[in-house]
Amino acid sequence: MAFPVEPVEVQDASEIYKKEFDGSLDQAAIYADFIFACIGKPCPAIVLTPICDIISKSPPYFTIAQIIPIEFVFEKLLFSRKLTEEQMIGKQPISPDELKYIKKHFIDYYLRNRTYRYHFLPELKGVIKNSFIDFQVVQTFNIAEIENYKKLTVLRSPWREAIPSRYAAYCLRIGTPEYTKDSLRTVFDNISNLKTK
Amino acid sequence: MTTEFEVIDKNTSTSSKYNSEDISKKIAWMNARIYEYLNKQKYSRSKRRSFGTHLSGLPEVSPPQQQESKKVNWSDFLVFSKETHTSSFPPFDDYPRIDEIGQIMEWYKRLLNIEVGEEYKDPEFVIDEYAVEGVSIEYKEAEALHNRLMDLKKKYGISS
Repeated sequence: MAFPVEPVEVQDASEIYKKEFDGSLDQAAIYADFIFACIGKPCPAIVLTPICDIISKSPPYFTIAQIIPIEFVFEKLLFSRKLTEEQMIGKQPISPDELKYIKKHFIDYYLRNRTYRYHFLPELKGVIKNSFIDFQVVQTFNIAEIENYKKLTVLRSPWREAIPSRYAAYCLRIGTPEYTKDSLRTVFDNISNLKTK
Repeated sequence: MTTEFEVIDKNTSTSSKYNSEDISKKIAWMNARIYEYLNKQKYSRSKRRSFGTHLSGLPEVSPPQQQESKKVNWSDFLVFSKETHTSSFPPFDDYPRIDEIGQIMEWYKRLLNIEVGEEYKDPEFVIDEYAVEGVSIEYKEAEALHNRLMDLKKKYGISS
């Protein structure tokens, strides 16, 4: 079977989303204005239910996850770094080391989908802005209700298969006690001969 | 041969006596400290190199050759090149005291266009509690923070 896309880097979102799609419920379809009970206001959402369940309509429900603006995650990351609000908006400077850390951390962890909770959705102009799927905010609806919502787009393979898989990984994660800083430092010091100038 | 110097503190007009050996040791020590300090600053390699060249030219044991006690100011020492007895560095008239290393460092930083306060620190070893999970967000709280930041941008006329 031919791979649906070449397994190389993608330049922009146009390769990730289907250009043509019908109005039917689909795995990894993105809809506008779902109202999640815990939020209480309309938000975009993505379908987590696998296509086999959707086709069989058994059970007659589908599960969706909330899509949140990318800024919410980024700003909370800045907040967790103890930046002031003036620093967050660029009114006051931050140290070059801090900027370097934040940039690397946000790109490597969040945009490259190496956090459990969030999954990056790149912007599709006129359809969806840069966003994250938040696997923490999930709700189940009756399939019959889908007609009430506007379908915005659908992810292409293999990105669409990745969504339920990543959701499963989030649900199945297990928290274990952290190693102490000292023990990690000792491991590093034992293997490293690195020196600074 | 040890030469004795009388050094005048310009602020207090008090004088102190040093012998050349002591002063040379102190200058060497001070320059080593300054170099060590500046070496950890964020400034260009070329400046660091030129500064290193300057320091390597500073006297190790070479105050002006005088037999008798002599009144000097610090520019005689700090801009003194071992080989040429000259330096492109401006005089150190503002820094009369050998123990005012902090001030001298500030002077060097200004000279080399190093931003004051931009001291190098080893990167802090941080275990980010959100690294794997992702930051903890409650939607309404995140939305409130976002709105506050947007209002603040408007207030300061920041468009992006």
